[in-house]
Amino acid sequence: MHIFRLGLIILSFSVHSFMAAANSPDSLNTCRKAFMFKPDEFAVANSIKICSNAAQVPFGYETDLNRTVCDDKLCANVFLKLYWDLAGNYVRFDTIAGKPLTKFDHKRFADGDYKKLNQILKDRNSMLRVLEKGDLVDKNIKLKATTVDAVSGATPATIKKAVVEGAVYSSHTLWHFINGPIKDSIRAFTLRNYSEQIVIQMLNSENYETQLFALKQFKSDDYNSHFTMICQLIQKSVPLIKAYLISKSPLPFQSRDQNLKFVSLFPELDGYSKSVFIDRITGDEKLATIFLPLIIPQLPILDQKQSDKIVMAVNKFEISVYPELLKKIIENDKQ
Amino acid sequence: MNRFFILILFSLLSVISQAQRNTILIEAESFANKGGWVVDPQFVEQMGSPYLLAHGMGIPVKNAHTIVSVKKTGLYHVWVRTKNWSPGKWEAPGRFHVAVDGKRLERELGKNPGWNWEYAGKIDLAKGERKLELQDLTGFEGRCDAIYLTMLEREKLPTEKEELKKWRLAQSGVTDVPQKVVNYDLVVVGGGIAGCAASIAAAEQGLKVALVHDRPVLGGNASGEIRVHTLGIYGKFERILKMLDTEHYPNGSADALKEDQKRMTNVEKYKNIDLFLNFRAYGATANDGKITSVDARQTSSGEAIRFEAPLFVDCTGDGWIGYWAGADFNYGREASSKYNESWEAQGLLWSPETADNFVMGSSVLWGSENAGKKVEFPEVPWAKDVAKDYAEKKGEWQWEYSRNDISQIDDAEAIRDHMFRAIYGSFYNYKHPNAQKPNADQAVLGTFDNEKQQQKADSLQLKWVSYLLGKRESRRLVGDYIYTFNDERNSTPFEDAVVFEKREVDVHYQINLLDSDKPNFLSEAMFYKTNQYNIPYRCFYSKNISNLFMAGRNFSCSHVGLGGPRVMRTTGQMGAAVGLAASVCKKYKVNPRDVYQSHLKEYLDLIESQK
Repeated sequence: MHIFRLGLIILSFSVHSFMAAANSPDSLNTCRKAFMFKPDEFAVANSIKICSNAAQVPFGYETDLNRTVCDDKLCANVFLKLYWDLAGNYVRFDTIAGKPLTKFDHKRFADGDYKKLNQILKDRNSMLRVLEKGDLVDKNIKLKATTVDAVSGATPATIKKAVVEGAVYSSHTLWHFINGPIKDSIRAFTLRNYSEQIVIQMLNSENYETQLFALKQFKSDDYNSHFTMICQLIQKSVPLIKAYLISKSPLPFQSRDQNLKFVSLFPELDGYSKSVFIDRITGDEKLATIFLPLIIPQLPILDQKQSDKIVMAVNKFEISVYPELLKKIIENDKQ
Repeated sequence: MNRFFILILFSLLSVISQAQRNTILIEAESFANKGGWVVDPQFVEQMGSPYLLAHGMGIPVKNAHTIVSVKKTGLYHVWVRTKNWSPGKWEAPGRFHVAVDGKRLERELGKNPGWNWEYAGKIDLAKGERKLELQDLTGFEGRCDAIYLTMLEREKLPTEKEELKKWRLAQSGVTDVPQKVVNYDLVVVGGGIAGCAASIAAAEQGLKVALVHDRPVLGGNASGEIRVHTLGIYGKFERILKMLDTEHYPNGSADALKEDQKRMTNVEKYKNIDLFLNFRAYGATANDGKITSVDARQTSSGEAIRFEAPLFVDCTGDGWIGYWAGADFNYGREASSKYNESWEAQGLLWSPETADNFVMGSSVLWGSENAGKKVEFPEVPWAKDVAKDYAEKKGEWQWEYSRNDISQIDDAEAIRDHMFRAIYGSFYNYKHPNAQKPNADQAVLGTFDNEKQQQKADSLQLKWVSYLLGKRESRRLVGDYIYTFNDERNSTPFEDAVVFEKREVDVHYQINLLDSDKPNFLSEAMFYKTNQYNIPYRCFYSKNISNLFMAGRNFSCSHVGLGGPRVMRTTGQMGAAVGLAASVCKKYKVNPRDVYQSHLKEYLDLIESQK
């Protein structure tokens, strides 16, 4: 029953288009109650639902939120439908029919305000994390409301980027609700209902935190059984995850083909992942013996420090490599 | 007396030898008139010497010149130790010429990668005084370490670090051991906020203090040369710290220059603080776990002084005094399990599963201004690899560079130069707006008016770019206690708490870790909110060097433990606490550890009396 789907308010429709997501519930998706969640002892408990796609594979959670956001009379309650993925990471929000978001003095959110709010809620590292509600307004500067007989404080310049101006309490309340303890509750529920399908779903996520949540549950065997997916992640994920996988993968893999495939990923890596890769295979004699001969043909794409580490390891572990290749390394070093 | 005689004799022999071989070595930093070139002593430990830098922000700087005395008429070959600091398929950015008596030598310099000798050309010189000049061609960070004139056509000049060091000493007729020796109650090395506070606190208790600092102004990261504002609380030392700290202006603000004056005036009024500005420490002698002296050299003249004292304070930031003396130290990020420092909300960005060297990086702050007219900015092809399409007109603390495979100490020059490329490239992009490539703010707001943007950009000129690295983290000397994140989040009480802080624990990461398309020279901060936390005195003296204090970012802590107290009012508290501890040491003729073990109450009472 979303307001934009009914086409009642054009503004809200544009917001929905902006926020459309791959796992957005549609008519084939089903949601069922997962657990009740209270952000604090005075709050009304929210029913958190887990949603599955047409193939009955869970992909995320949702709830209908109805919250007061400020201590004075100047702002209305916030009504929103909120979505998280299986690792408790915020996905998006939808407005509720007839309940647009409003700012100070009951002014409706503009299209840009919805966009900004979505960006704010997605920012896991927002400065809102360390701000109390009292930090949000400068009490020395009073703004006069036209529709209500009251005044409210102005937004301090330093936090303007972290909030929707005129809706600082909404920004703060929503960020803390979405990124607060509910995340742990969702994760706990996911783990209680863990399955291979959920693992695949999370590894396929575009959110690196979700990928990492799944990877942190891995045992050593899982790297072999999910080898293809691990390689895909090393190719497409963010450097932080690439480096994590390179450092955690149980090297050497079981087959030579797997090891060859693993090394073939090297040229496409970012600098950070490359350095972790080099450190890994040069820090251990067994790994150096297997991987250095495989990686030496990649030398032209190494930087000076990486080349130096390889030459040192070749010498230290007395690894036999093609003499002409070693000569190239040394020449490369001198340049 | 014998040693002194030998030194004099050695010097004379070296000078005679140099004269006989008809060679002249001129250290660039000793030029009598440096014109627009600046002395850069930041990387002495890596490349061997302070050098002159043509820091013109794209406009060639005024010539530096000096007089050399030629003893014998003849044909001289001129070699210059320099470096192409951004080698690639473009003209080297920092090119310059050497001229003698107004005659420019044939070859452009600054063209070979890595520090090395480049041949400038040959010239006939008559006996007598000759004017030697450095002529900058680009304004883009050309650098000259030394100039060597020789009548030998073929002479193999030293390149390896130790060989070069010996050769230089022989050429200039000096030894590594200073001839001048001075004695103090306390020697403080490093004149940042921590070093200044340590000096003042000790001086107020009657100690005779030497404050040794490698720059012409005090303040370190807070100085007008780097321009980071001070953060944190005053703890027990409000009176002292207010003599040294800054207002909360934006980082990079020229207001920092006023604070330099305030700081200098306040330190100079202490008659028992001897200030050795432009002296960079280059060694410490320790016997049986005790430092006996620290040696420092004037960054332009090369004059060396040996500082002897019963107590030393390492406020160098990089922990050099401790390092030279053999103090235990840590570098890098500990595995989160080592001290149980993980924080689920930030995961791997906060602390890694296995230890690594991905410490917080160094910043170079910069800014531009409206010139009121159209101002050109040169092409910077050598910067494009780093800046890529990023466009900006100023740089705050987020302009920070770190990698897990580079050292904030050993690779410091490469880090600074990387930031130069980031800055000049991004500013060039800003001056040449492209509707297809809006800058970050424009991309978020979805607003971009090419014509309007061009008009604004046309009149922009660079106002100030620091050439000094503002470092956050490197060596952390090990004390009797290692301060960690748990002490911050649990507000661990300590009987010897002497430094207090309330600010969030603030640890940085490079933003390209989460998006490889993002610039690799920008960072993001993570904040962990805490209650007030307390730092024990045991973090401020070395575990294994008995007479060494440390204050500032090289105090005893873990990587995450540094996140909260690394700001400069807090490091100032550390300095003041150490200065007072030194006075207790002097009173009882004891070492820093004894203050904790035997005189703690008196020490804490002394701190309380500071209010």
